[in-house]
Amino acid sequence: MVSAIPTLVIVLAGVFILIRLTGDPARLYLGDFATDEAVSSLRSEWGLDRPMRVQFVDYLLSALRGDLGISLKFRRPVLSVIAERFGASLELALASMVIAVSVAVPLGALAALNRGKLLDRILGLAVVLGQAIPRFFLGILLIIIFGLTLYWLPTGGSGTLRHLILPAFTLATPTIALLARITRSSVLDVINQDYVRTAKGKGLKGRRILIKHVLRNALVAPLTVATVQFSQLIGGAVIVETVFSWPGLGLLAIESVYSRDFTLMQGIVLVFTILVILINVLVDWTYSIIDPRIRLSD
Amino acid sequence: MISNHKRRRTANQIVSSNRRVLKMITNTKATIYRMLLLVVALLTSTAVAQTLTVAHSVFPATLNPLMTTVAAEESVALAIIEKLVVFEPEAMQPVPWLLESWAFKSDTELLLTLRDGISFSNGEPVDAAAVRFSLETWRRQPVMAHSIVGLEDAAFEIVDDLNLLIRTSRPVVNLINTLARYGYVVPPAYYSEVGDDGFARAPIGSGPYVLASQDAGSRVVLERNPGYWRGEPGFQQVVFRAMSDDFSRAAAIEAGEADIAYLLSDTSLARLRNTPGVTVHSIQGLRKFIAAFNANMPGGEPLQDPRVRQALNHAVDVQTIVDIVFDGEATALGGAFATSGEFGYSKVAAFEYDTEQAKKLLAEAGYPNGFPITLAYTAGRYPKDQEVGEILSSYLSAVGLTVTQRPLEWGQFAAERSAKTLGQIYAFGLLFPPDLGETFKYMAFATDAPMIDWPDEWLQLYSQSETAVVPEDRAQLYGEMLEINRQNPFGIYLFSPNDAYATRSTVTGFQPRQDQVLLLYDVRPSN
Repeated sequence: MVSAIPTLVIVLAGVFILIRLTGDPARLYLGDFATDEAVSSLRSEWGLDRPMRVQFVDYLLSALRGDLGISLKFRRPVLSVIAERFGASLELALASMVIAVSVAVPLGALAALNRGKLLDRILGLAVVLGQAIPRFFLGILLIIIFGLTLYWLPTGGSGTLRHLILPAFTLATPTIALLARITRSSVLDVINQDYVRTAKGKGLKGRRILIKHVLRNALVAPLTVATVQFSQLIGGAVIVETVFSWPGLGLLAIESVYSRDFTLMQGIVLVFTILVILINVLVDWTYSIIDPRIRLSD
Repeated sequence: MISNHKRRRTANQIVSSNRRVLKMITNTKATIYRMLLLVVALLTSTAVAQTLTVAHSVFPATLNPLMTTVAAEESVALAIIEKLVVFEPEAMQPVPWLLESWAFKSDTELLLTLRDGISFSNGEPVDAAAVRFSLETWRRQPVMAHSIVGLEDAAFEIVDDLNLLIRTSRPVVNLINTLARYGYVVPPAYYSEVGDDGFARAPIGSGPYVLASQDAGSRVVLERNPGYWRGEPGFQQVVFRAMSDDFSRAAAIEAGEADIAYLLSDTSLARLRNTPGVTVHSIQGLRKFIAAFNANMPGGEPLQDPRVRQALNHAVDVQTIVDIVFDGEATALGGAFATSGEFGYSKVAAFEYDTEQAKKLLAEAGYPNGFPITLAYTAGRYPKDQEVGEILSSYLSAVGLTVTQRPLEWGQFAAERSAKTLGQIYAFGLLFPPDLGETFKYMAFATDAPMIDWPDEWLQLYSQSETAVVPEDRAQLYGEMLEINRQNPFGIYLFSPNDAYATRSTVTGFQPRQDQVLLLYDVRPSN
């Protein structure tokens, strides 16, 4: 966990510098018709006229105290703006994960049990398609089919379970493909293990063998990957949230870029980075529990 | 004799019968209750049916119109907080709204007279004190610094409850237009209590609707202001749904999830025009695009010759760009950097697309083989800006120029525009207030304006226009200035994209406005 601190500082420094290379935030904030006096006055008010390293150290010290600054666009503390949207992103990511696991695991197992048969090939093709299709394209496609042609689901927005279905499925699709592929190879590995043959020899029924002996052991790999994927589902929701007008952190990140709200941008990147680090630590910890041969000190 | 057993049985039968009757009554009551609930539900659903849903482009970061210049944010605020003056939608002429009238007492004195009997929704009166407070609050906002030019030291004097005198140190000729753009009136006692940011979150005004709730990043819900001074607003509720993606707004109106879709791109319009129950409203916008000249920077010397500047205007087929790139949803500007919706507009002869004429003018100016030039343009700031930049480059190359293209992200573009390092030609768009004086002021005098030598005659006319309080006189001067700009172009005058909206047949009274602001009072349910 301590080793994650340099990563955090490096990511923050990168974002801090890059944002400032994209132009003068004060001029961009005040717009096309701003006078030079107004721009320099605002630069001074925001502390942008100080050397960049001073600004950065100041920012780091404030961040340690939990103060990420004031959002230039919303004129409120960055943390409170992020907190408002975090729930929506978490909801979408959790729904996507549930969809991904509950669709991918049966599909992967089915493909493995029908290895080399037509069903395996069809599922293999679907997996390739699921990984290759861009999320924005899939999102628009689903809106056209389910929102504009069949009128079954809302085209965007949030508030009800019906609003959640299309964005969650769109976000989940590449994860479904990935998990299905991993489940398939994992099941194929396990299916040839001695204990499975022993179970067959004992005369256990196929379904019991599949659930108790094969899937139970084969699920370790896909579930670990699913945990790692979770941070990507939160961070990767930028496009999906925009297409479906889902009011989460991804959409907020886009809004902050368009409005040149550099304090908010920094805050969002910080939150994403901490989230990824935390999930990675959690994954390492889970590994050590699942497989005692792995120790965190390794 | 009736035995006790029989009596008991009869009694039991009576009780049982009574119970059945009671049960029937109870059931009947339950049925009536259920029916009542149904009626209430139906009534409620009628109320819900009176909801106007707007597929909007932003979730407003602020609902304080004194702190924003974003038209989409103002559109939400304007349903709650009203202006002294508004632009009427078609010709963009200022008309009184909270004001009864205005009158120039002299070149530096403007008397504003308010309508009598208007209150904010919290009961505070809309009076001269509220107007003075609002104008002073507007004047101190950093984001408004550009708009208060001429009013920095103006005095706002209360004459009586309904009259306020604005006294300026010099004539401010576009004062009424400025009020039509920024003259929002807020309740002073409440505003002082909650401050700028508190008001941004919980605004109160005199408008047709009041703020009911906000769902962060998703929607803003307004409810009818029952005491609205113009009479009952059209809807019980207005919901602004934040949909930043243009496709999402188009899909929402097509699916019937929204009644009005705000600012759609031309790519969605063809499909919507063929959707039953949907009407597309496409009008010429106020944003104007130009490929401006930096003649006074290194490498820009050829552009100092007006013949070269004319030649480059002849070299570009703007109408084809409009037809092909924008599918006809834009208007070629012709011979002037002006749109018909702006005050002072007069028709000027357009530059014909004529490459032979362009080459001839270049040869006359001493550049028969063209010259090298850098063309900078924005990439991703405006719809299709990169395509337009690339096409411009092709047109300029076709008359002999050696063009180096610089597509730039907006932040870098804006920084280099200020530093004058963009290139000898730079293409971008600006949304000016609907008064040509604003265009002239920016183009000739802003720190990031194009670098050319403005003709003396033009500068004299501009100087005269700054004190021409009589609108007709000012319009006359602007007409003459446009003619000079035709002979001495300060850029390649490109196009003005249309602003497109869509409505469903569920609503009537929607009028698209060139200032991109929604005025919802006139919008009513169609039945």
